[in-house]
Amino acid sequence: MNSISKNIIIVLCLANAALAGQGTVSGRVTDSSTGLALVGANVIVSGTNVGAASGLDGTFTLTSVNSGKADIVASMIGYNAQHYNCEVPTNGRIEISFTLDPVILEFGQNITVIGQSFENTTIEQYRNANLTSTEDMLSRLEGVDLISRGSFASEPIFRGLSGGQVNITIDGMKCFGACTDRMDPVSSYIEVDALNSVEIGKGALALENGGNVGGSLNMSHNRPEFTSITENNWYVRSEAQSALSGLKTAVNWTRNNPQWGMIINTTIRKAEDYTDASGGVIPYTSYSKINYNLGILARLSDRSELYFDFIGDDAYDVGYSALPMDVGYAQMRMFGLSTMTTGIRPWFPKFEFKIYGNYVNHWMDDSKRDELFMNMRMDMPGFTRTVGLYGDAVLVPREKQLLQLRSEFYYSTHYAEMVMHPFDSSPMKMVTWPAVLRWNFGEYLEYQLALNLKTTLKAALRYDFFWSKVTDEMGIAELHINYPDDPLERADHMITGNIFLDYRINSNWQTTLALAAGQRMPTVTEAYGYYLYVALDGYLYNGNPNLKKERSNQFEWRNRIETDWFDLGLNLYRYNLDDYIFGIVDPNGVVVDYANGWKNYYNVGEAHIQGVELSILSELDWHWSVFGGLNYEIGRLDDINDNLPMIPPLGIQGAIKYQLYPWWVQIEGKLSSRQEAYSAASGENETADYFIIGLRGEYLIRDGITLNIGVDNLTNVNYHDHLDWADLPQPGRNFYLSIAIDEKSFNGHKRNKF
Amino acid sequence: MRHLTILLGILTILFIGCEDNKETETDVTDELILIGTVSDNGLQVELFSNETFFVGINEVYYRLTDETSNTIITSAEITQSPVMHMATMNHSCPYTNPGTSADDDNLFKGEIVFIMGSGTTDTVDIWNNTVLIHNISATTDHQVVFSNLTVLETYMKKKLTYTDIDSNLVTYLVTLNGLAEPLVGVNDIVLSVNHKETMMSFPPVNDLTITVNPQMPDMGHGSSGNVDPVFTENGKYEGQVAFNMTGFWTVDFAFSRDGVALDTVQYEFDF
Repeated sequence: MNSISKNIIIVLCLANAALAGQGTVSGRVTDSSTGLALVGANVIVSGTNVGAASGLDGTFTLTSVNSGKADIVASMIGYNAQHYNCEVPTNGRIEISFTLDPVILEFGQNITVIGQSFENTTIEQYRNANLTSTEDMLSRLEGVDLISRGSFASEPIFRGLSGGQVNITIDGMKCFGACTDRMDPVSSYIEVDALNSVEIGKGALALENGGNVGGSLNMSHNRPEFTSITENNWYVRSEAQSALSGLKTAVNWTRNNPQWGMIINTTIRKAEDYTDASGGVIPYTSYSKINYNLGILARLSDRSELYFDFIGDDAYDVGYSALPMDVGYAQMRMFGLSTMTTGIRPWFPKFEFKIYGNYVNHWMDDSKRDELFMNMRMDMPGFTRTVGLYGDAVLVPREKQLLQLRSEFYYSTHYAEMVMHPFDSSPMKMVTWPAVLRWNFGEYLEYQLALNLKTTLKAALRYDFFWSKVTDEMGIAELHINYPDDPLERADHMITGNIFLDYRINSNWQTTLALAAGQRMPTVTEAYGYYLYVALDGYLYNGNPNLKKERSNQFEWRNRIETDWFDLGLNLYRYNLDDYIFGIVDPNGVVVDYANGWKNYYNVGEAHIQGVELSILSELDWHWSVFGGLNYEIGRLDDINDNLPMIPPLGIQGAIKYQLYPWWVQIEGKLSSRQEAYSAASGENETADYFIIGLRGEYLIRDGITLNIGVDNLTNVNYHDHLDWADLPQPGRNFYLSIAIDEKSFNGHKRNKF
Repeated sequence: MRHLTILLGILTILFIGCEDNKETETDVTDELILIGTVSDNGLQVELFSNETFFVGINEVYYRLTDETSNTIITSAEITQSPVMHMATMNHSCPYTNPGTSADDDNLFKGEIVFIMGSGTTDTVDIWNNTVLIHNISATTDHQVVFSNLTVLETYMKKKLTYTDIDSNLVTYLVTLNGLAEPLVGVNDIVLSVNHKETMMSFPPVNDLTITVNPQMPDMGHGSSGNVDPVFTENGKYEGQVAFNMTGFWTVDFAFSRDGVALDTVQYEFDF
């Protein structure tokens, strides 16, 4: 239910204050994420002794409720309590439905979750803003930036940490990009129109999806849900962009009913080379892409369900301007089958089991280039294969305690090769990812305890076992050049953990102290990559099979102040990294014409990152709202006396929104300061400051039909972000127009009339 | 206890028996190629090699049998003389004669460094190996000829020339072994260097310093992980060549003596 309609109901309740008497309140309690009935939830009339528990089908009935204004509260361990203000009619009956949000899967930004490891962000406001891509949405989240190598599939980076330092999952499923140049981050396989929610955990504060040092990003698709009556909904959105020369169309269709549900999401995007602020066309920035997913939900019983999901993604002729070559074709297929049961026992509210598999194929291509790198054509195919499973259990051992368990396993393989075709001699082939197999077994345990009304403790511990092995014969021979007699096989044990202490200072101010100890495995590239050219610094990188795990200690202090009219968040953090994995110039590397030399990955010692994140959201009145944020951090590589690479400079974003139903307008600005603290050893350089302004607006033509119009980079500033490779200029002034038709609101409108 | 001892004894004998059987079953020459068998005055001479002869360092094995007593001879002086018969001239090649005692497998192991492939017909470019044998225990001398030997061309022989202080043009023959089938990764190599004194005399050169330098002309770079060949014995130098990809490679060997550069020979590989 959206907040506007809830507010309207509250207003109506208040307006109709009535005389004393008694009435009946009845209804049903369900899980918001699954739509399944919740058994044994407490439903009480606030401030009275009147209460009842929900039955096996989730229904409840409260009799002898004093008529008039009443605050009905539904609560259940493992879920956030929900209030419902209503008017109880004398001698009458009122029906209320509660949909409780699980504590561990909390997506509402307006509800503070105790001891949260993920900073869950409702993406509803971003979807309403009708953003073009998942990346566009991610870049607006606190502490998230993008590494751009073209206009497509930017790689998310959390507080300066990325790649193997972070875990990116889709609906809990592990997947690995097949490009040795990280052109295909997993976040490119889910489109914003099909996205339901994102869970972002920064650093080792979120270990559910794997041990890490840099963070965790889980993206969830829109899902079908069980509904009391059969619903067919469809949603279409089309968008055109000027400077990006892009078109996009997304089509979603959902069918829900009490027994099963089905969803199909499709997004097609196509863009020509984009134009920068000076009007110059940036070559090799075009792409075309189709993404599609299918979800089928079936009810197994009152409290259990089976869910199948499939995701496909095909990208063609994707230009990567910052790199010497493009992507001819990239293909991803992902399958998942899961079952979830709720309310198994009062102390065992939820169990989920999922099995999944995916593959990514990637073909680099330089046939569109006029100037060939080293004057020869190259083929660089690569693939990854992953299969895995996990089981999640939520247990409530005692009141005010919550235990969450996850056991998981996955198997993956990475292979990539490079074949260069000189015009007059034999093809030159080498294996760049030597068919590396990796097994992972992980066990995660999280415990939450409410010490008192104000204080909550949460602790999590994770154990991982990894077994890695190089299997390609040619790849083994290559690695044995630098590492003779190395078995190229390793077993690693990894223990990570975190602890949160959450204290509510007063009704408005909540403060959280968090400590975490993270670790991560070297990536396939870092451990076993061979001859990988990195365009950022122009070096050829070789892996080091003897790398140790990178480790981190993290300290974080979070504050959240919420009042009636504003919501302020302030995070201070520090990471101490040890055995930081970094490329160091190989003094024995042979001279190469086309590269600056060779680098090998080493554990270079200590590094640290410290920073601050500030966010503010203020709804001044019904019409005006202001929101914004500030990020600033410093990253140092202490042991080689350099700055850490990919550290964004001070950034301030802000927006003012004015809404007057049925339209709203928003002006937004982004200020990025000069970045002088760049990493010279990584080939970075100084980045200039910039300030850009955007305008966006929406007009609801009628219920269900929305028109969006806007302009990015209104003043046509020529700029690039510090994280953009090759100082690739960002697009110039870009106008866009989109129209969305949501048949659900359409019908909802009609239904409301009766 | 006594029964146990007897039982153990019997078992031990059985085991030893089994092992003996195994040893006699595997003849070391099964893994070798028989090049030829020639007899002379009651002495049978068998010549084996690891594979068909090729241009480069070839290990050769002789087995001598007294035909009258059918006993293996393990003590003899064997003198080889491989000669290439060309249309207009004859020449020999570098070789190392076996020692006077046979090894545990009753084989006399020597070496021939063929410097050119045999012809395609039986009339020109013929390699013959004339072998003189002095049977030490019987004090008899024998001579056998293994004729028309097949030697595969590998293009691994190069000439290295330099002018010495007496202004004489000196020619060394260099053969490269181990890269007949180059592979990506580290390849073990052996260089054989012999002084071409005359057409028939090729003594080993043991005092050179060699550096190796593989290059990929299409890429403009070489490789790391190479090991310069160092002298081991009889004009042989062992090292390693690393190829980090397939394709067209050149491998240069630069020769010097006491810091004075002599010459560089280059090999080409396209794989």
